[in-house]
Amino acid sequence: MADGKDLGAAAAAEPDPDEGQPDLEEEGELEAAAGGGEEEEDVDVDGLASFLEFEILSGSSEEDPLDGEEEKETGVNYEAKNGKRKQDSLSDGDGSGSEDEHQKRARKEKGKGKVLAEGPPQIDTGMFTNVPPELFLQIFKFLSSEDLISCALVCRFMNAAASDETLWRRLYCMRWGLSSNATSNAKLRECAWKSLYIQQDREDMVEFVRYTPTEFKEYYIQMQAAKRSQAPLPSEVNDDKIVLDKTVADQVSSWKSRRGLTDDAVKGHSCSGSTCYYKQIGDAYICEKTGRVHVCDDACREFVLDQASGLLVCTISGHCFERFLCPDDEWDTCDADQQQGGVTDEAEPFMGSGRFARAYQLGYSCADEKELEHALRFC
Amino acid sequence: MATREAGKKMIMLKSPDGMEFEVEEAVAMESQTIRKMIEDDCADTAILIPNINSKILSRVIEYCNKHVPTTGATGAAASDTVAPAALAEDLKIWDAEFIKVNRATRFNLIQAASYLNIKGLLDLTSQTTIDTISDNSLEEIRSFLSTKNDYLPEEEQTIRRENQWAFQ
Repeated sequence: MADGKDLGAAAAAEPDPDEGQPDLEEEGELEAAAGGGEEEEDVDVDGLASFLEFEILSGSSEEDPLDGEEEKETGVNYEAKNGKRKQDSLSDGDGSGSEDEHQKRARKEKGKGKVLAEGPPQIDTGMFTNVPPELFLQIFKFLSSEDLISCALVCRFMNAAASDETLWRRLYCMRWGLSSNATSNAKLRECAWKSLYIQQDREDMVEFVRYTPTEFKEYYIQMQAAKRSQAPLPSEVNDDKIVLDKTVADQVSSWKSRRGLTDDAVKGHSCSGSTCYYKQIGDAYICEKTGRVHVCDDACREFVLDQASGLLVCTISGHCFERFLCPDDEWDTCDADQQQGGVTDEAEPFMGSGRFARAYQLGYSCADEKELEHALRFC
Repeated sequence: MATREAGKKMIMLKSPDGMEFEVEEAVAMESQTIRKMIEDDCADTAILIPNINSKILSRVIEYCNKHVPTTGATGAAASDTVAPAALAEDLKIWDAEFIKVNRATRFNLIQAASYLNIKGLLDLTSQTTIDTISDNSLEEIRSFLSTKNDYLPEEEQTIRRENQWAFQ
């Protein structure tokens, strides 16, 4: 494992722009400590290997033959479906956002698409073959940042799944919270939550270690690193309250306490617009029965695909989201939306202010192709 | 919700391999997917549950059966604030037993729970999966999922470098 070296390279290659010389020294020390950790890990790996061998052997003998057969049967079906689903899941969550972000993400997705096009678009071996991609989110949301990173290294597909914005947003907000300052929050949104998390973590570490006595440094680093293995509590997994900024969170709390609702997780309750009533505060929808909070913004993952319109509709707020559009078919779909515009009549789609959003709004009321083309020139 | 009497409404669920399961409406309603079907009056004849074989379906029904009276009880008890703590504890133990299955079955259960939209079961199965993944090394996860490493060496290096902080 060349991690010790790597680390040095990374530290040298991308020094923190706002940190000066003294920090290089700091990072050097981190590196030294990390190098020590690596060695230990190496020893561990051997032990793990044998453990794993055992685990696999016992695992395969556990499975009864019937199961294997059934899996093969359904496997084919899923394979076909997953191809489609895969694209959806890769591309979801793009309801709105600033123009920059939109384009950035579009580029990113495109790049990803290329990579995937070369190989199979998903895990083609193993247990997870049969699990639809959208379920990974469901599973990964229980993981800590450290574990998500491990998952990201497993393979390309897992990397895409474990880098999901909602997951990292939640982890970020769990650890640092959001201030009530709107401008600083807007600044946060300029890059992906995952890199925000990593960046903030690094800054914290440097800050934390700077003023510690040398002899305790190693312990302090370990203490700080332990924060990364903090997984969301069950009550935090299904509740979006954690991602609210302070002002809204306070409003939500006071509303909940007036209604006599606690922060305890309510088990077995499945929130949906057809069964529950909601109190709306900003982007936050609070279930009147359980006090569960859903934040419906561009990171909303509660949507289902509405067959009639082809739009993604949030089951809680009723907001409509565009399905993700590749730059190539952006215009086609814009056109299609125009024809099906009636569907979105009652719920104003949550579009944001991006280029596509403007195109949508302008194109919405166009009568024909020509007018649409004309309108799009203003986008 | 249907009362537990002789007159209660039964729902017929059919798995793709031809097995039929007759369950109480309340039990079937644990699944939001089936609930919608029932509410939309699509459940007069047997409901075919595609992609879930009879073995898994029977387990899912077992779960719903166990969980339906409790949700009913808490629903009723919410107003008199009689928390059925003992009952919840029982259920937890039962859940722990229920989920002691091999991995293939567990993944099938996750799928079924997702498709049928049974929140409790989905959380239970996901959580259990996560317990096995978390705190494991990369190689361990890879072989646990029997997944291949499809990164090119240099690609892996890049990702490793990007994420190096987690391995410090």
